[in-house]
Amino acid sequence: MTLQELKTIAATARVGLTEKEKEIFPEQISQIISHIQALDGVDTHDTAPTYYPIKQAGFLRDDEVEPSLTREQALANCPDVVDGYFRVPRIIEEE
Amino acid sequence: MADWEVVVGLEIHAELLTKSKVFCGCSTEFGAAPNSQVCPVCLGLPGSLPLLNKRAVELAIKAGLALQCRINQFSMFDRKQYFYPDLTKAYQISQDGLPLCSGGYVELLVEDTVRRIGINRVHLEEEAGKSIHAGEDIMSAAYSLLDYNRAGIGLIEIVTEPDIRSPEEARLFLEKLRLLLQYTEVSDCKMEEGSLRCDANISLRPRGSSAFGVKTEIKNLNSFRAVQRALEFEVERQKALLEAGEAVLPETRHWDEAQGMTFSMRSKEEAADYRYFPDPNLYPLKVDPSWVEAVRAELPELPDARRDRFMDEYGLSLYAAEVLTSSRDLADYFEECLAEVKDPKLVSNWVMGEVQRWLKAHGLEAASSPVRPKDLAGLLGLIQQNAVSNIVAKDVLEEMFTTGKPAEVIVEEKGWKQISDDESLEAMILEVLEANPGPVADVKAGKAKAIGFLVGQVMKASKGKANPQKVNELIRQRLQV
Repeated sequence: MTLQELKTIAATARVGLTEKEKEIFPEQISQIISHIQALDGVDTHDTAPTYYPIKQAGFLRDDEVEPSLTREQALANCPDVVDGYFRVPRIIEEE
Repeated sequence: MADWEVVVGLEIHAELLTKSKVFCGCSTEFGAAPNSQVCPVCLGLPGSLPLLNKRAVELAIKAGLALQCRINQFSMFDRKQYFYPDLTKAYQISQDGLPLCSGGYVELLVEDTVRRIGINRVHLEEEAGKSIHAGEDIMSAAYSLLDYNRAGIGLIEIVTEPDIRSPEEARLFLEKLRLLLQYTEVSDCKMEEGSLRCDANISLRPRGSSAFGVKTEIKNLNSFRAVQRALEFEVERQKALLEAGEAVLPETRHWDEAQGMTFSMRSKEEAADYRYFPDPNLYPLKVDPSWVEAVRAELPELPDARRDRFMDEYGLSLYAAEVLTSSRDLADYFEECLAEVKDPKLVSNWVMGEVQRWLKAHGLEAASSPVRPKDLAGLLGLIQQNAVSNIVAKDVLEEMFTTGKPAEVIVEEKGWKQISDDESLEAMILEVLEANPGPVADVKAGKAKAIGFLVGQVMKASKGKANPQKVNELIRQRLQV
């Protein structure tokens, strides 16, 4: 893993990195990747893909309306409420 | 100058007509007070778990069947991740690698030829919340307000193959798709309420080439007309670039309805890497064939089949059958009326003509017509019994729409009953014959055309109430021609 790849992934995941982490992570993550790459050597020719670890069909609910939260409850943790809406800062970043 | 071929693919989102949301029990009712239909699941609060709505799956299967898709027995839910305030969890539950339905098609009648537009997939996902931007638009807004009532409503995303070859064909496809989703009651498809939305991908290539050109994606298409106009604009824009030897950039463009142009959209949501992965909170969805068959049994007769049956069973023209099956309501209206009147030609003429005209003028659909099919049948029955003439019947219908009274009552009250009895007609005919010796002489001299004039005079004298066939007959008897 290159430093550039690390920075891209960190930015996509909104994870902040210290200078020290930027220095040591590429090498450490590269080691992890090569460890995992051992799996590439396994012959899975006749193995059905595992999409989910548990063999269990999904649960379903009937289409019935259940009580929602009250608006007060819904908005209780919001730091900036306007007229029953959640107010958020400007969405588009400055160029 | 090269001859360019237009290549269009569409992505359509349609809200499912379920009572509750797709992963929680909150109501989907439109127009409630902001943030009054939310719960820990659709607000994405930590520790909450989604539970799939069975009816949402059934409606998605229904859509898949109506679009001739294969219904996959095994499909998966994935997290599509992006940061945007309308998305409470910072991911949308969607289906990526293994969708519920794949590989279907829709047939369109374009200039008398059947065009088949491939459907790549139909998958289930959830709606995002609704944002209201302060100020003119999102670009200049200082802040935005969020309402999460819509967040978590069940959606299907329908992706076509790049089989559409013109902006007009794109509009025709959408009209047909809406018809199918409305017929099957999968979605109400109200673009103005946002329950149907469409993004379009478009590229050009030299005709005869099999490779695709560079495509652009157009967003903010709020009506079928906007889809067609935006694509027409984009065809010209791309053509001008290509013919000037410049490159079309692969980008997302925003349609500006007022200016009639598309604009490059550079927002941070664009550089998206969605990092799909299976949602560990949801088991894979297993649909066994018996469930699919049970849903299939719920399907109504689809529009194409109904159109063909109207032609075979009722002897209607292709045009009439197309118009009458252009909405399920209208087709039902026609058939309910026909059940009583049993004259397909008469019923189709009135439903397509006077009834449709009045409804359109008043912005109504057949389902909400104040004149119900059995009311119309009452009027058409009077025509069949020669109790009213066609001309008077039009006035009767107008009265029926405005007063809500049955045809018979109106005819009685207004004294509009057609005069067919010989005695009353004879008196009027005698007067007309006496007053018009010239035409009478013409008729006797063999000028058959003059009869029409005399019939007209009698009709006038009766204020349109005389039965014209009967008048014609009686004049001929009297003049012995």
